[in-house]
Amino acid sequence: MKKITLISTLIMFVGFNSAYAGEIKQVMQVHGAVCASCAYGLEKKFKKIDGVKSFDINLKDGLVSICTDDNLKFSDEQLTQIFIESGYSYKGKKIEPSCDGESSSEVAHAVNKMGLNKGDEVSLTGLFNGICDDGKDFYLVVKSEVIEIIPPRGAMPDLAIGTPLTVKGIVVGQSEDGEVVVEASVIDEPK
Amino acid sequence: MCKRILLAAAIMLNTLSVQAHGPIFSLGPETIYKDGVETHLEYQRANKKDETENELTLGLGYGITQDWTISAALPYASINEDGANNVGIGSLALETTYRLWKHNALGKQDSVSAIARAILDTAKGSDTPALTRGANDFMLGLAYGRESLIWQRWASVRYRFNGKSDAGIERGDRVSVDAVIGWRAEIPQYYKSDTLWIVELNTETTQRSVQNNIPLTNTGGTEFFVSPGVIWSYRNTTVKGGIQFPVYHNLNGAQSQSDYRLKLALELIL
Repeated sequence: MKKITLISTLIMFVGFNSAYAGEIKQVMQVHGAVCASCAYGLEKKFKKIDGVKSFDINLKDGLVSICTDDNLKFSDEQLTQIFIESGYSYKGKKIEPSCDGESSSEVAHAVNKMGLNKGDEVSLTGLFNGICDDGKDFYLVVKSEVIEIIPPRGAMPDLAIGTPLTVKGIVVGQSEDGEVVVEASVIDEPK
Repeated sequence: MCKRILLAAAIMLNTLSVQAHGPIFSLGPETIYKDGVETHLEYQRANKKDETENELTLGLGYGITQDWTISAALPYASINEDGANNVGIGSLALETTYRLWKHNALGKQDSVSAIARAILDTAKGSDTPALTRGANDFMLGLAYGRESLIWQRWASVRYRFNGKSDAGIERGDRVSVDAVIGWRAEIPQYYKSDTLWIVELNTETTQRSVQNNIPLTNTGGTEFFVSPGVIWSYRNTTVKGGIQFPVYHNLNGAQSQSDYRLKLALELIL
């Protein structure tokens, strides 16, 4: 009985600690990582840092996930340096409140510098930055972030680069080059 | 004598660079991450009529920066020629790879690197067949690679400056041009093993060797190889292997063409 009580106490203690230890998941977008053996440098660099508990990378979606103490914060400059020294490009981060729950693959397409998620309804005001090579989409620059816009049929804007523009629509994912892709329902061109 | 020289040169030419996820017989543009260490143990075998050479090589590489890697490889060689056998330390190879250009995108990376290699004449001795070539050799190369989640492609060109041997033979320089394609059946996952299949097309053109300003008849020529291979990896451990099969040869004079070359390697990133 004494042994059972001790084990129960231990389980409660461990459970309490894991519930309140204050771990967060930091998910970062990486470009250039294509195989596990090449991404190993990232794991080595992150695991050298005190407070980093675990490392994973979803190569398909280019998402690096690390579980860390909640008081461990990285600046964009620090992360840029870590990714550069590993041979890759850092494209933004998102912080999840807990290390439990959805895996990095389930938060695919959720990370970019603007914090946009797949399925988000957005209204973006930025500067027209030209039409894509395939002639089907165009680029909008919002706060230094390039957004790829799929216009409604027959509504490709005919504007000079740098013209202000407002687009309303839904985030549908990311392009191969990591740009957020928005399917537009309304395009407000300047009068 | 000339046959011996060419066989040794062929094997040394293909000593593996430090590039776990690069091609097997060709050059790749891969570098190690900053302050990363890679070690590899590699077995090579080259076979011609009446000539066989085996090498077991230990290599070590270091990433000075994410774009600049230095490495060294020391082989232990066994040569059998016309029934005579010799075993011992081979020639130390020192190499540096500098990535000149890189473009990262989601799920793909393009890069170009310059590679320089010195193959030092550290294998001394006069036994027959000799382990030494009697000269230091140097190689300069340029490699391009596009790696993505499913398909890979590489291309490289190399020029090997072969030194003048102790016997006074000016060994002919060699130009190698390679093209490689790689494919994996599924997108790799970090905590699962990854298998990549590759096929290389390797071409080697060697100039005639010269002694006392007289070109040696039975030296130089061109050979083409098709080289299937496989690269298996799990995180920081890689096992790779391939075989070079000759598919075309135009060798000067009376020379034996290559039969096959085999390479197996175990690589570990630390």
